[in-house]
Amino acid sequence: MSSGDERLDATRHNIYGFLPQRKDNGFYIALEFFALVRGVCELNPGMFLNPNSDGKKYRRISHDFARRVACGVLPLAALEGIMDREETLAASQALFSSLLVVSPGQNKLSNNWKTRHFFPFDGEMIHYDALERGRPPKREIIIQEEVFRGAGRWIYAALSRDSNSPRRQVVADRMQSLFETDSSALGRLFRNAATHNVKPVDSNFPDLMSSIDLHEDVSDWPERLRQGVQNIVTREQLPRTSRIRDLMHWMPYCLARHVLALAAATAEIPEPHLAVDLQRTSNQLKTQSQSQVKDFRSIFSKAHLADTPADDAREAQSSTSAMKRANKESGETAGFFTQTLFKVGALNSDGGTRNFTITPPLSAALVAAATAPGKEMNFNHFVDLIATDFKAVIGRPTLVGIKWLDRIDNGVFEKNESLFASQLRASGLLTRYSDSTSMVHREVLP
Amino acid sequence: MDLRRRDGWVGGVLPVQRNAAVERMRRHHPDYSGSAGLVVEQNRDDRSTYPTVSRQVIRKLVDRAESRLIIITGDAGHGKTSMCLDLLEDLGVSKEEARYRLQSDTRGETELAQTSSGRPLRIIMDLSYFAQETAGKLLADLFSADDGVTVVCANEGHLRAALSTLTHASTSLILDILRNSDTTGRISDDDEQIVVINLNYQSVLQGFQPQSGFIAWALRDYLDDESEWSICSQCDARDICPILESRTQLTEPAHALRRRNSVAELFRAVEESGVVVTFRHALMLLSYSLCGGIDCSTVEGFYESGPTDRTWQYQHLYHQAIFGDLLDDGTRSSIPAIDAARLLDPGYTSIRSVDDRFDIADLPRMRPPDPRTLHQSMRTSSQRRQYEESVRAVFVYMRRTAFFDADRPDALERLGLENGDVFQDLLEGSELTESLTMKLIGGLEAAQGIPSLPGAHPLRIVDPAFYSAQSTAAVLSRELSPGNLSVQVSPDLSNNGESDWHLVSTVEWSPRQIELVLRIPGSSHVTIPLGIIEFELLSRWSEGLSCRVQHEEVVRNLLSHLGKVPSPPTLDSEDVRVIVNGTTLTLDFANGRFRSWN
Repeated sequence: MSSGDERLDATRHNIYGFLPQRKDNGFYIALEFFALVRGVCELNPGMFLNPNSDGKKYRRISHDFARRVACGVLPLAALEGIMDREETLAASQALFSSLLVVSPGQNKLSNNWKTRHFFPFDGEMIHYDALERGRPPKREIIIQEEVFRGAGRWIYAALSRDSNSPRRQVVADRMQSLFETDSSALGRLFRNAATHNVKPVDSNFPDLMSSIDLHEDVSDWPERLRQGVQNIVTREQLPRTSRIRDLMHWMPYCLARHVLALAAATAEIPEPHLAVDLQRTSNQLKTQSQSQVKDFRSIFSKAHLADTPADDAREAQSSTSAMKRANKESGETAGFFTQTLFKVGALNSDGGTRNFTITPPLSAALVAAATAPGKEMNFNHFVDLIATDFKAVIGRPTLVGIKWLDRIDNGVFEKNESLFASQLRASGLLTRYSDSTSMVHREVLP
Repeated sequence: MDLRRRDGWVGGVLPVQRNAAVERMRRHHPDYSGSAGLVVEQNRDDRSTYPTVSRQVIRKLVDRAESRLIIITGDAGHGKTSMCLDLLEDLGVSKEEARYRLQSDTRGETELAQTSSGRPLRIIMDLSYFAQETAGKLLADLFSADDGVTVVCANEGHLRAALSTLTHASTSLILDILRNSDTTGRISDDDEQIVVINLNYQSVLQGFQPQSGFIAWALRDYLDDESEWSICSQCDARDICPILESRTQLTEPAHALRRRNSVAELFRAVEESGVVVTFRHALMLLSYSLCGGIDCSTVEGFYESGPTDRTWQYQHLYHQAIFGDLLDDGTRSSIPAIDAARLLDPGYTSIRSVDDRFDIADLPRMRPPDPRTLHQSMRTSSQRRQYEESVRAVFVYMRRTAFFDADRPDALERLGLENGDVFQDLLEGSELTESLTMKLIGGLEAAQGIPSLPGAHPLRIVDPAFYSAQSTAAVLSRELSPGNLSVQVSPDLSNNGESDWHLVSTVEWSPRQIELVLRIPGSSHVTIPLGIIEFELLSRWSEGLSCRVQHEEVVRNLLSHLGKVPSPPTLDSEDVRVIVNGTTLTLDFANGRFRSWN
């Protein structure tokens, strides 16, 4: 690594407390965290979410065999002694490929198994990254980071450094039971497939205390993350799969917003409120949202610029060229932010003119994170809460301090709110009563 | 010289009469400003009201020594305020005085009457007067009050919103009653101090008798008072009046009963599809359909422009207007019953044996334009489209008319519910037959994306991990033999004797949905609630019809229940049963080898 790269990483680490990377986005963040959960619980269940990582070991399991079968890169000839016939391979491939996580924009037919991960329906399915090294015939598979680049470790650090000890304990207990392996057919399938994986690796747990800075004095998102995770994992009435899916959306969303909050703080501007537009046609809110997506790019650049130590050479340059350089150097962070929001359903596209939106799985996660288990909340209150706590504006909030609110007509907000309510209703998350009262709830209530 | 004055009076006689019954119905129309005639607080009409079961129930409840808080809830328009007025009247307060007292004390601070045991009675007429937090605190205070009994009327949405702001012990009691009443039928807490009467379970039909419920009563109230309708015989427009024509069709001795029963059947199907029909909405829809959305002055206008014109009336006849074609989208969506009725519209259900009997040449006198008279030759595509539209309108008209004139046996089929009769038989207590069980199994498997097998076979339940649309294969998590499937009607009536106060006996009760019970050997059971639409879809899916996109909500709901079926306990074998492209395979992993066989 060159000294320039090291200086760049130091700057980014200084601003964000970890190194956000474009490649390490969306669901990979949650999947890396789940891999840590499994890894720690396999060897040291008592140390799970313990902030002190001294002497802690964790196990890394790859599931490379099942992933390669799922992506169709293993022909029958290579499976001699493992698969008895073509039909068995076809059935296994169909089964495994049905269980892969599908991210928006991802090529479902891609046979790059290193970027395809299993949805953790069962604790047995959780796995770490793996990649291939060397050329044939000496090519070998090693358990090493491919897309897991540390964002999942940030989630682990945020949850383990919760000063509210009872909450941390509850989250640790429920999280472990969420990923318990059981005797289900799925668990048996993966347990047997795992016998053909490369050997699991037991490693020292990374020192998260020194490598990750949460910047809790600047951003509220670590605290929001913890509260939301507690609300999700303690929701016993909700099927396990739904709770895991909610976590997979909620955790990356929080981290992306945390990155934005830190960039804004470094650039010395208030944390922006996202203009969330759900309408198809062009309107004032969509225009505002589109310009925000562009503006946020410059917030990351300004943050970078603000944190770079000024030296003579830099001062000699014009401000335009300094900004250009900052733009280039903050590209990884901006990519992390937009790609993560796009993958979890908070951004409508990964290219072109984009605007912030909210898709049904993300809205389910937000409801789960915002409401206590078994409780319901008035829809208007929920929209207000999203605006004040999650800093995402869907309807006209009853708060002041957002400059652009005045530029948008009430009718636009009303239509947006109504579309959001319809989306929640279609997902079974909202019950509308005849007196115009709508209640939001994550569980399907009678 | 034209002697006609601006109000239509010519001198001596009025050519077109005004019927007071029609004017009264007009005030109940959904598009009438405020529909003030149907809001008790704004209505000064002293006509007798429908004697509901709840009226007697609440009278008994306030007299009980245990009662402290009686909550009457439900959607707006069920008759909560009316019930309170009736209660005060039953306790000796005059109607006018009762109105005054209710409206002057909205917080329930003063004693409005005394129960027969001498306890003070307080009433909060509408909890919606208060903001959520205030309403929640008010409820908590009322529960803590020492003496007396308080009746609180609250729309269900506002009640739930108010309760969500509190952590008081009574809050969870009320929410538990609200949530559990439809499964257990219990409407009170263990001490029977809090009773919740949820009028959303109130049906516009009584039991299974179309002649005895609210709909039958309302039709009688609107149509059967000869003294009100006799004025129509003196009206010059009587031959072209669609309102009078509708009334005639629904009162002529030979057919009236059948047609009225058909109206009630339509409402029954609407309720069984899961829609709550309030008394107010039922009256709106009935009055609108009986008048066709117009009144005497509109008829007069038509009469003046064409005294013999019979081409405009057909849309205003009751059997057409009840489906709300002429209402705007906003009005229709504000009344869920209209949307539900339109979903079941017989005009858009094609049944060969029914359609073949229609003859365009034999249309009644108030009919849609005859398509054959439109164009002599259809030269342009626009003319052809106009002709097709016209033919469609005629068929819609005739199918709707035939539905109300039809005999009972195929009424539900004409509403597009081919399996509706089977569903209603189950509601009335029939058991599952073998063929019906297989049909439901086929439907449930189709909802999970599994192609059905011919002949008798167990219900195959796939692992919830494979519910996504991208799945091309699935692991079978459980197989349930057909004997483990049964149906029951909710709520459970078996504990009816444990408490005096049971949901079924406190409102006008009609069962509306069944529960499909999946008995899990070695475990408890999983129930899947099914309304008439879900039942119809399951039956159709079992026959091969499938549209997961259009019915995504129903599929998701069914899968959320099927996902609760637990996997069987640990097996010694490592076999896994999988379905790939409709074929069931067994995968085995002995000694690290993957083997499969059919």
